[in-house]
Amino acid sequence: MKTYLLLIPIAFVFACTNNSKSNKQKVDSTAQNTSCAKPIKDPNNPKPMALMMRFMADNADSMKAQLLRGEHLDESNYPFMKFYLVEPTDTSVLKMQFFENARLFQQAYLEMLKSSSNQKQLYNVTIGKCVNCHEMYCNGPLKRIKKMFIEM
Amino acid sequence: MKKLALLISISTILSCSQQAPKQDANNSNTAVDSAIINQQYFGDKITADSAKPVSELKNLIAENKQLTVKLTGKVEGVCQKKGCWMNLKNENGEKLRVTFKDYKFFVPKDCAGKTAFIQGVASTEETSVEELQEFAKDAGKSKEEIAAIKEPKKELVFEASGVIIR
Repeated sequence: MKTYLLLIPIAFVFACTNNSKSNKQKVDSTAQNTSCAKPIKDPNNPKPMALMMRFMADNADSMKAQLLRGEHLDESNYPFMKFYLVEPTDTSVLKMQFFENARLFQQAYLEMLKSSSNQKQLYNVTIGKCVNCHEMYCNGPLKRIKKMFIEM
Repeated sequence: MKKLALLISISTILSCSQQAPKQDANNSNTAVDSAIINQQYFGDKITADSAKPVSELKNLIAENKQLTVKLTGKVEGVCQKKGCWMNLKNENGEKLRVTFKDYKFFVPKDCAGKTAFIQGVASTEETSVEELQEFAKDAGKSKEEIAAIKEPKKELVFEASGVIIR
C-alpha cells in the first residue's frame, strides 16, 4: 500500500520534469524558427551615390551574365547613371581627381555599349575603371568589384 | 485503495502534461518574444544556435587556410561611414574584423556593445597598409593614428554571409 502511495509524488515529479523539458525544447525551437523578421539590407539611410552604385553593380552582374551567354549589350537596357552628380557618403571625395575618374569611367562605359564587336574586352576595361577609383576612395566593395571581371 | 492510488498517479501524470505547459510557456515565451523583438537579421537569415565564441576561432581554424563557421561575440566597433564592417572582441581583447559577403548588406552604425552572431568564412589574410588606414579612417581614428599605420598586418578576418545583432 505504501508503495502505491509513494507512486503519487513520484508520478507528479516525473510528469512535471518531463513536461518542462519538452516545453524548453519547444521554446528553443520557437526562438530559432518562428521569427518572421526579414533580413535588413542597409539600416543606415545610405546616400544617393551609394544607392546608385549598388544599382550599377547589379547592372554589371547582369551585363557579365549576358556577355558570358554571348549576347550583345543593348545601350537602352543600361543607360549611364550620372552618379557623380548626387550626394556621396563622404563629401570629402568630391575633388578634381574623383570627377576625372568619373569621366574616364563614363567614357569607357559608353564606348563598351557602342561597340559592336569587342564588348567583353571593353566591359573589363570599364570594370577596371571602377577598381581604379575605389582603390583611391573606398576599398570596401573592391572584393565584389574584382569578381565582376570576365576571365578571358 | 491500491486502485485509487494508482488512479491518482496516472491522473497526476496526465494533468501535469496538459496544464503545466501553459504556465511555463507563458514565462518562456515572454523571454523568447523579447529576444525576437530585439534581434535584427542582416544578409542570409541565420539562426543563433550552436554559435561558438569568437575566442575559440584560433583553435578552430588551427592550420586551415579557411573555415566555414558560426561565431558569436560582442561588437566592439563598426564602420562609421556605412556600417560595412564591424569588429568583434574576445575576452583577450583581440579583435576580429567582419566584412559582409559581396558588400551586399550592412549593419547599424550604432550596434557597438551588442551581441552578434555571424555565419561565414574565417581566413588568415594579409591586410595592406592602405586598407588598414582606410579601416582606421572609417572607424573615426585621428589623422595621427592613421599616419602611424606603416606595416601590413597578417590577421584573422571573417566574411559573413549572415548576421544577427541582439
